[in-house]
Amino acid sequence: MPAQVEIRGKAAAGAVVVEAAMQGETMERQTAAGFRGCWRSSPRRPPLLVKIQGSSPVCPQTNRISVTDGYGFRAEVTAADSALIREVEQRTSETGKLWAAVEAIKGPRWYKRVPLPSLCGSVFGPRPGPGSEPAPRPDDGTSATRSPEATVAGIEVVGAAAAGGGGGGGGGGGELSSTPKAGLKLKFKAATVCFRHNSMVKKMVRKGVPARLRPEVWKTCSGAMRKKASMPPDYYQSLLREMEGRETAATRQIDNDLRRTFPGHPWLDTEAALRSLRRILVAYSWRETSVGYCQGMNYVAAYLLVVLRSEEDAFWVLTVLLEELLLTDCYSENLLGCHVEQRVLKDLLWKKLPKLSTHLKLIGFDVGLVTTEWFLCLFAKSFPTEMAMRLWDVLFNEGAKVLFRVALAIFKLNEPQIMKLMNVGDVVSLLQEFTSRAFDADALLKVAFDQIGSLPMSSIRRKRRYQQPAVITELKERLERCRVHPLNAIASCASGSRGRRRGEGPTSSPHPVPFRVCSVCVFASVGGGKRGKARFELSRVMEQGTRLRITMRRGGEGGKKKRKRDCTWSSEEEEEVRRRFWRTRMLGGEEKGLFSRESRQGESDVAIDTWHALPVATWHASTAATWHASSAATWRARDMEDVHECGGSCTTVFSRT
Amino acid sequence: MSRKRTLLKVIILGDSGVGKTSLMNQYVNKKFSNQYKATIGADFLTKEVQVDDKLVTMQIWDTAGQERFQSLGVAFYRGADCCVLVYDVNVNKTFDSLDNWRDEFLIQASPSDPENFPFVVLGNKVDVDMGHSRVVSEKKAKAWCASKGNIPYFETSAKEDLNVDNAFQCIAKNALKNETEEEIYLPDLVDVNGQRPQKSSACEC
Repeated sequence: MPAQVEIRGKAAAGAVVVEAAMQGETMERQTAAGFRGCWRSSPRRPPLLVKIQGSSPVCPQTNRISVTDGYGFRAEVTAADSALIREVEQRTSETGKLWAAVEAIKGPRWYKRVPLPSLCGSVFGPRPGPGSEPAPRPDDGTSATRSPEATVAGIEVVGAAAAGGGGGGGGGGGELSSTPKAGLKLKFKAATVCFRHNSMVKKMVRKGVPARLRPEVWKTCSGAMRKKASMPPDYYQSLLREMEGRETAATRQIDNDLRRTFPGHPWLDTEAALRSLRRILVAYSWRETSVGYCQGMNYVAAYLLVVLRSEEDAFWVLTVLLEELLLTDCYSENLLGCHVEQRVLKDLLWKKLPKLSTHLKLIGFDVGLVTTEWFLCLFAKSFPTEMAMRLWDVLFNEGAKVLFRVALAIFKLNEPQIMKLMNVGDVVSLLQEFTSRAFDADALLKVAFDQIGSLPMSSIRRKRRYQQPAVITELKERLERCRVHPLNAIASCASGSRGRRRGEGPTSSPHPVPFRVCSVCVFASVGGGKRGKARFELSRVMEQGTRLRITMRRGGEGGKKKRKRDCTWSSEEEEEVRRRFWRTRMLGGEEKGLFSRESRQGESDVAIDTWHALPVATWHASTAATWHASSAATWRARDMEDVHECGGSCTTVFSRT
Repeated sequence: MSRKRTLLKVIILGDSGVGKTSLMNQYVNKKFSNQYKATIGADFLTKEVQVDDKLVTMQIWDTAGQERFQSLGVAFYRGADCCVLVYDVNVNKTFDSLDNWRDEFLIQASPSDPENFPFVVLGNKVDVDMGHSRVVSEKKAKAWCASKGNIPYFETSAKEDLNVDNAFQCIAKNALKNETEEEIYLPDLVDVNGQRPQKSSACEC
């Protein structure tokens, strides 16, 4: 299969080992000495037991081995994959040792995050009095309630880590504020220490949390403990009591999904576990009635239950996940958040992998086809267990942006193959195959963190803010269309709708498409050194007789100066563009340096240096449905989005047929 | 100039738990399991089918059944050639929502000719309890299908492999019919199956 790039290479190396191993009987391997335990004997501690069933190891037809991982999830894998799994297990056990070593030095729960003290205030004017208590960072949602304790912990880390004369530095609070200058100095020191501490936590978590520590680390890093502590101790129980015996739409759906969550799992598919899972989901549906229950939450809750092994903890981590870590409304009645995240991902794809993004657009691939599952199940359904766990480790520590990083990494790793595919289905299966076989978490996370480039949370937030209104409008429109009597709705979709809406009566034309693309002229990267950085924005839609003319404006992005210049084509220019476009198409290739033009400001602004033979039909195929249906206004809005993503179509002329 | 596309896109819709995934798997892989996971978003399988001595590839898309997932429909429904509506003959509500699923599909996929867009209705799980727990009668279902423009109707059981092949054969046939009709309207389409765009010598506007 064409799915693997780097990962496969490593797998091949280990293939011999597994073949040898397969000769024997059941093989059991403890992944890390000291973390002993067995699935049944100690339910609170998940065992790290890799069981490759050697007695009937290879299915003769599919040549596959059944592997059960440390959390009891079974998978059918190829010999090469199982070698890879074992290699990864080896690495995991090394990481486990590292964590143990760090724990030995720093003590248990050393990974508690420490809020950075804000230094700005003191630099521009130290506050008088005991102002040395570092203020919690306002944007860090987890810091608010635990700052004093955590700060002390931070300074204790100085004592432990600085290993020297400064051992007593953390002691006296009075000493800290003796003079403003000394206070400032200490603040700096504390800030450095906090920063170092937090980046160490980040580094260690990215390496992977050993299964033994996972429950504690997840609860601590996600802020679930804090959330739990902020509520009355019997909060969860009281929620359950409230819901006892009630039947709502949510509970009906939950009951429908329980057995379909991870069927066949040795522990999750038992009555006791299903009851726990049900209680968690029901309690949440009652806590947040606007969300209720959404399919996908069942997988998330089940994973939490398997890892944390405590119903109440799982409930709190789920709560924190849905209410703080992920975008709100991700699971709400209209999946608003999910829509927004998908659009943000589309934007990011265009920014980080423009070629791929353009290609996907051309073949009519909507990222939602695969990412709905990724975002709603947080990859729990898509990835092998260990990979998903590693991702969740980082998710709890760093927040939702890791989802984007990993999604982008998946696309990046598959870019060469996707570029060759012209069918939406093929892309979907390629990605599904890839994710289901992503056993090497290190390889994928390495790409996600090191090769995607900078992806600050602020830019994601900005994109979310930008996309949210558009999504809301779109969802509203959909509701509007649904509210109309079904027959009317159908009529408005129907062939002569445009004519009818204008009161001209039904058209007799056999063609159902009101406007047909007769040319999509240019789709180009723009010259001037900043290739690939320019993008076009829709600036005008005009109806000229039987033609609908769309003009684009170039909006610079990427450079420091944001340039916006009008690049409307004059009719002669358009004619020229069209001529060249068709010529290019006839030649079936690319022509370079064909065309340059003056912008309104008189500067030679746009020089199209690459012409792609973009077939009209591709546009047709991918967007025809939209054109059929919608009114001019929605059509314009959608088209703008199309162009946006396509990354620079210059002139599109539609003619009425 | 007319394109030769042999890929048929079929969408399976219906309430959660009516057996969409099972039907698809029974048809494509010829096996039944009661261990399917709940579908999130969508998933698909393909199968080569012979329809009137023409070999076509059927791409069957299985979707999530919870109502809120309907808002994601546009991406999944785009370019569909046939839509399969599934309900559970043992649950009244799943039959009642067929209307909703149909309208939703027509609105979001906005096919070129909604009045004649091919639908097929499947009443699934007829095997349960030897048919004693059944609440939606065949007559009622057929009446509904007739009222919506003579939609073909099949009673199936994915578990017992009852009528599944027949149903999908009909689906393929109708999808193909829809396909060829579409060709007349959109003559300039290009094979999206990985073929090079067809060359054209002049703009046709």
